[in-house]
Amino acid sequence: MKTKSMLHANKISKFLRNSWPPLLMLVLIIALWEGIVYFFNVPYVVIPAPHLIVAETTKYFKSELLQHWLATVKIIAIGYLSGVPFGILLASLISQSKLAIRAFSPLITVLVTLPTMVVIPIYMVWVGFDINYRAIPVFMNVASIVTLNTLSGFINVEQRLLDLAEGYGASRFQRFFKYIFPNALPEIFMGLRLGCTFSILNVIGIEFITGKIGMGFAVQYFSGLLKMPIVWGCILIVGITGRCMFLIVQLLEKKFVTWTR
Amino acid sequence: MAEKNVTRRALGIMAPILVFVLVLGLFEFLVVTLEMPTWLISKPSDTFKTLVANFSDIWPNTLITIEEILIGYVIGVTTGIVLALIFTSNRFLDKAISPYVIFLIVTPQIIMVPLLMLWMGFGIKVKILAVALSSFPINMMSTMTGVRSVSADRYELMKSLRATKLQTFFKVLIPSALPNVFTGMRLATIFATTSAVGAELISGNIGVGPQIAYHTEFMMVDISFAYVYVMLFISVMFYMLINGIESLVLRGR
Amino acid sequence: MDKIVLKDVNMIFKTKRQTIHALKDISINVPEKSIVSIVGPSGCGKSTIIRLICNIIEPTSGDIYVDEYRYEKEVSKSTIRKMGFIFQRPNLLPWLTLRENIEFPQKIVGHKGKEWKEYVDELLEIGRLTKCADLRPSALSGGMLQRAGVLRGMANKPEILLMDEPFGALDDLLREQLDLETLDIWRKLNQTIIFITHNVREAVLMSSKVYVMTTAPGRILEEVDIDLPYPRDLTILTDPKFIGYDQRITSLIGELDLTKIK
Repeated sequence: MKTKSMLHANKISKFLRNSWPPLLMLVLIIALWEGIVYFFNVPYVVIPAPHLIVAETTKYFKSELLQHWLATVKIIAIGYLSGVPFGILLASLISQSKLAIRAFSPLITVLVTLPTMVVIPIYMVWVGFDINYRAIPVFMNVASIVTLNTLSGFINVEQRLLDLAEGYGASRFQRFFKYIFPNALPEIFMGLRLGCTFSILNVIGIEFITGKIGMGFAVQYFSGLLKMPIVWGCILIVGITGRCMFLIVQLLEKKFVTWTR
Repeated sequence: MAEKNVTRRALGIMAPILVFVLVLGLFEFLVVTLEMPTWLISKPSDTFKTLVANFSDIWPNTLITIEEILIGYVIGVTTGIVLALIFTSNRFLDKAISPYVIFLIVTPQIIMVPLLMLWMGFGIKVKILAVALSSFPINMMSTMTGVRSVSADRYELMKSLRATKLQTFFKVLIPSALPNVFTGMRLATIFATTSAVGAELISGNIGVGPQIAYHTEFMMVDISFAYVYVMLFISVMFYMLINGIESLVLRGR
Repeated sequence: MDKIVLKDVNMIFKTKRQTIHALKDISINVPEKSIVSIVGPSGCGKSTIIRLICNIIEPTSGDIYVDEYRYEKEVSKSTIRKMGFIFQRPNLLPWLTLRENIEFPQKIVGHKGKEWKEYVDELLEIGRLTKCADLRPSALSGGMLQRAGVLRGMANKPEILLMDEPFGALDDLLREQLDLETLDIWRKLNQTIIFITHNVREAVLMSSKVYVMTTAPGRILEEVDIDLPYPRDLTILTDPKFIGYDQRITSLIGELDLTKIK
């Protein structure tokens, strides 16, 4: 009989076993990078060496980058955390009626495919420089992708499952919450993951074009000053932030969607 | 009974069209009744008039953006698929690369545009590369997932027939992974269009993005809106195109 | 002559955490042109045995002979291609039509030409699937897919058929029907068949010899010769000899199952 601590130990050893290839790859890449920069005398403006990136970025972090990073994270959070529940709610409502599904699906598809960057210049003129307004395009984009995926999850319930629910005499309410919703969770989480990517894309895009704060702005600003190590550092910070966001979604998924591999 | 079915089907087709008409109508209504200034917003009727009138100017710029999107997309998607096939062929590579693919997906590739500009200047290559960089990670990830999900059953079938590695690759692996590849391609269209316009706005002087920025700045919002409608149309058509190709290739499954 | 021989075959699976002794000292003789069944509880390794014969996996120790040719590290293609493998789940490729699925082994091995195409038509006829030949798997029922899987195994006119619980998922009536059809085909084509099943009646109905296996580790408990004449039909089910074999084998398995329950 496996005790809880044994299972835990197994999980840790599995994690360690799976971690070393990517770590090895990382080490190799950094070593290669440093090597190329050193031997070919690549100017730091073109491609800075990794150690330079780390040094410069940490130097400027507290004084300058932190405020940009916080501004970006704030908007991502507002846009994402409002878009996701709205999207799920909207999909839940629409899925109740076949007519509604047919009527609104094309509209949602259009909203998802709309390239957000196209409307940003006009939007900028409307709202001015208050950075909180940046959250609205993010909200709309996240909400649309979450709605699309969630709706697809609700619609694609196997007939078998519905028959089962009917066999047990489930009410409409029960049918939705106990059968349809759990079945749609994998697709819902797919929507959440895509939402992460879209929200970061939109926020950074907006920051590039308007305003004086945010990681997107920082990249542009420091590029202008030719402080390339910091630029690379910013890009990495954005990447790491996104990866953490993604990780949170993945962990939640593991907790709630316990039946897939 | 037959009549009820006909009405139901007609309603099914009419419903979305009705929704679109209502949305545009509402838009028009609000602009008119709230007396929104024409330099801030353009109502649909005005936008369409402007679109028709200025088509000869709007179209060439749109064409440039379309060119960026298409070339960048094809490069990105092809690279994504090829790299995915390479990296999944070896267990070590697969494990080593996977975490970084997510990293690439999550980092918006338009953030690379200032770097690209430093290396390549202001030309169209920067935009194409930005589009390619945006399209490839999601495609790579989807393809990798597709390859990994080929069931052991199928490999056993090939083993029982003593099929060669090449036969297994072309006759089982690729057809099995195809649905996932198309999922990636569909999502990549969205990244491609947004990145194209984004890259143009950041680096640019040509294409739809700068045109929108320019006309908005000079209070000619109706032309900006015209561009928005055109881009919307193109994005949707692009998405539908990939969907259509998918239906064709995957028919009957 | 014995078509297939396994001698003291052992199969040990090693993972990082545990070692599983799947098969222990398996010795099997399959006479030419006969039907031999292997029965046993789930997980006793029956499927592993035919995968070893088809060289999908390699034994940890022991020898495998086909037509008195001993398996080396690299088993010759021609040997493997004498065999047709029929899977537990139909395992058809969803992007091919039924006909294309059945033709698939021919395409892999390189059997081209009119006679091979006509053979596929014949097989479709035998399996009563001619009408659905140009449909894709998604449009067909489980029974049809199962039948198609069996036909696919026969597409290359193999001398040896390895059938891994082919009718397991079907209802009894259909299963009996397919058993008789298999016997019919066997009478015409005279293949050597190894038939894996957990249904004792099916095993006794079909075969001239039944190997009874047990689990943990998988080993042969007994070799039971079925002394009943061919051709067989459903009337044989009431034959007292048949019932005797059925009871004996069932009790062999039954006893062991009970002791395995913790």
